[in-house]
Amino acid sequence: MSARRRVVVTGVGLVAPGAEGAPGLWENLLAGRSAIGPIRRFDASAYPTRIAAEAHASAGDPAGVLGRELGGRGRIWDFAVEAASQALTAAGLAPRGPWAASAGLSLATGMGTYGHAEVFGAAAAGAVRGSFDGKAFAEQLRHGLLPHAADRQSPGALAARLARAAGIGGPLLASMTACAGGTQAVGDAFRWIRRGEADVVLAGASDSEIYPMGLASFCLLGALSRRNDAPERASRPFDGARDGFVLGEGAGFVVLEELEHARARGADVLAEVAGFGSACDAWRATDPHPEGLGAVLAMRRALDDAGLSPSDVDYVNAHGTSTPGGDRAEVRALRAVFGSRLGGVAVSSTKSMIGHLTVAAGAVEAIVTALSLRDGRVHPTLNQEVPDPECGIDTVPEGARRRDLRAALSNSFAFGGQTACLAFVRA
Amino acid sequence: MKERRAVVTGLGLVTPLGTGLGATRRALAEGRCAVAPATLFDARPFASPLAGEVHDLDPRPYFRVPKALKLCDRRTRFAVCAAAMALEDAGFPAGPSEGLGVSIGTSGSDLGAEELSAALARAEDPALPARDTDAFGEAALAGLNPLWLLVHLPNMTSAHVAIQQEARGPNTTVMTGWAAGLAAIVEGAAWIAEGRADAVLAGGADSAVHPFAFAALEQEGLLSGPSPLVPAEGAAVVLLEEQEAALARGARILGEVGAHALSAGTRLAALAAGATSAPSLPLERLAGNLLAAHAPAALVLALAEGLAGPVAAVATGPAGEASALQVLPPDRAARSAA
Amino acid sequence: MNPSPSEIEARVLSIVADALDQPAERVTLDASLVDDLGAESIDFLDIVFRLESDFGLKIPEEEIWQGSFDGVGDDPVAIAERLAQLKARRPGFRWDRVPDRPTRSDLPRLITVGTVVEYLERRLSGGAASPE
Repeated sequence: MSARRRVVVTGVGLVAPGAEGAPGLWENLLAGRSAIGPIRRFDASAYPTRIAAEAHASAGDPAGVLGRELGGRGRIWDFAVEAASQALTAAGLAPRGPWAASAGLSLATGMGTYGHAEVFGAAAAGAVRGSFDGKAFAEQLRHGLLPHAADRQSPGALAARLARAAGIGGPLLASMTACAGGTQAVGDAFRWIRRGEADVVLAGASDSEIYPMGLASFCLLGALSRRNDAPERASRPFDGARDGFVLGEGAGFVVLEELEHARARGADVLAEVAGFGSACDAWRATDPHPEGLGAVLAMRRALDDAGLSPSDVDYVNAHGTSTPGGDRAEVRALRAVFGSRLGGVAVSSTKSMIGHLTVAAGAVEAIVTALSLRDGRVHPTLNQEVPDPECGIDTVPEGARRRDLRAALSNSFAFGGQTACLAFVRA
Repeated sequence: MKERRAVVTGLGLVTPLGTGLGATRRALAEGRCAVAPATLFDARPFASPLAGEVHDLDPRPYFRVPKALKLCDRRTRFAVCAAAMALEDAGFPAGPSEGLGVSIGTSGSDLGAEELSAALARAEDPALPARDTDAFGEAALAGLNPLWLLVHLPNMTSAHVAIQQEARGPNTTVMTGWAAGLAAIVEGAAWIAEGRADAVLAGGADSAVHPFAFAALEQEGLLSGPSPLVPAEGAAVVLLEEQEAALARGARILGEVGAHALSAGTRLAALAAGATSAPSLPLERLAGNLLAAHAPAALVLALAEGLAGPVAAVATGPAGEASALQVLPPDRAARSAA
Repeated sequence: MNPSPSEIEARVLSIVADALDQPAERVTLDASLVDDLGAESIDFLDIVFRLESDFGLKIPEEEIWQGSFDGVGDDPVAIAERLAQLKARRPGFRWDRVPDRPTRSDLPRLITVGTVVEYLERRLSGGAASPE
């Protein structure tokens, strides 16, 4: 039996609330700085939730690394192009270089990008006479359709066009497992390299739900915090006074590489991806399984995949959204996996500072986990003020902590019940 | 160490030609055409109003928990039905399974035009929310069904299949455009090979018969000319199983998953050139283009005929997405297991 | 003109049966939405939306479900006291299924079809949005 191929992280890039680039985000997280504030992009005064963690991409692709033909298709594309450019640059890989033809691309994105007037101009036309006029809807939609509609409506189009811009000719996959997507995109890339499908894979996720329809749809589900008067204290995962999550947005990309391939070219190695596990609660549309079964399976599968046991893990970058039910279920799952050892595991939630990046969350949090291993530091979970007896875990409340980490897990769980977990070890 | 192989043991199909594999095959054999002007919405404003629509599907019998129907858009209903058909076709034991995964490919989302309009209809001036986001907030919060997001999130398609079948293996919704359904089957086979799942419900489910899809296709010029693309809908799901386990339970094996490609390139070219193609053209002519579900549907129909030799299903799309999968005849699968 | 109590009840029963996909005979006043009729979180949102549309009311979030536990908070003693009052008022409910020391997260299981009917009767008889 041949020796197993090992997979390492050789470059990262991101756009996140409060930071453009991994070093800036990492510094903010270690300093316990929240990027959550009042929504400025549009007038949100009519909404029960008026806070979010907004991010900003430079227009298009400032470094010119991936070319300008990917612009004009909305924030999800802009964030992705920028984060992917950064990751390739950090990895020392030039687009269309010799590495690219056999390299892969693994992507997760949100539902699609639609212009507000594009959709609601049509909806208004259809609402004439108080009943639905489908013909008027269709006519107005055709009339008001913005350019590149097919690209904007298809997550897969972004993957294909990003690949072409980078010269990537190997395996290509675009997935949409909602809030588990970002972790899964990295996990799928890891699987290709381990199986020998590719030596290099650009993997990541991008999403933005901070626009009127996105905000409205999450408000309607009762999922969001309403702590509008104190935005920086609203995201409080595992805290007894939590009342829902805060929307964030952005993109995270990593370059994953086969270890020998990375060594041969003298690439920087941040951390090693040791395993990936995924599952499904198969329970309810939004309520997590009461025992966190999907989460337990994902974590156990990641550990088995990595050849690790729970006692090897020093840190978990939690899904930790700050919802009453979700956090409780995650803690139950952590207890089931770690048992009495849980007290010795540091568990922090990046969402406490940058909010929930939805599909992109897992990718950005994978980067944070890799940086934690590289530096031997874990960032705090903000706003740990009110104990919750059902969540008695070490959430690193006091501030960033130094700790040599042998192995770490990064969790992401989705509406619908999909769960994903990455296991990292120190390089 | 011998790598685990994936075999196909069950087929499920919902197309405009009929609900179920049998109904679709009969319609194809009779040359019945389901292409007609769309009735699901008024498509007359578009360059071509033709569509392939699924009619007369009663999804209830296929739902273990029918309450979920209110959360399921058309493509999700097709997916749940086709998945249930595949399991039944395979004689796969029912009940919760940690080793059963779900991998479905789809494209786009119909966003529920009627519901969006209904949300604005209550406002005094429905046009105002289109320009004024504050007015929009009030209208949407007052008038939009709170379940809207859950109905249209693409990952819910795979999630609902898993919920109905209590399948707790890996679960994904693939969205590589028109190649998505075939790519989903490739992924499912990979999960089995890697030991991540023992069985996978894999395939495509799509519905392009809605204004957003038509508008985007028209903008690309695909609805114009003498042979416009006919947007259609449906689902094609196969049950993949790990080969030894399938043989051990006496399953009827339809084929063994062979080579695959997850993008355009030499591997896809080789697969497309080197084997009999799964017949997708009669399907396209008589039912329309099922987009992400099209290549899986063609594969299902080829498998139902019985394989004389290897068959390759190939899917490509206008944005450059591509996928291909080879399936080998079952007697070779039995021989290699012996 | 406001609907009569029996009209209110009939419409509520129909809405709950539809939303939860339950046959009419299972939708009784004492039926727990969660334990007897299979409701999950989003079903509560759905039911409120349907009630708002059907009765032409704005139903402030949480208010309809607060019902019996309005103002109680998280204090286990207060919860236990209110529970005792409810037991006296609603002998037909399956109290044997309720844990001895219920926490806040158990409370949704106590919501019955009757909870919904009572709330709407209060609102439509010209009562204040919150119970006295």
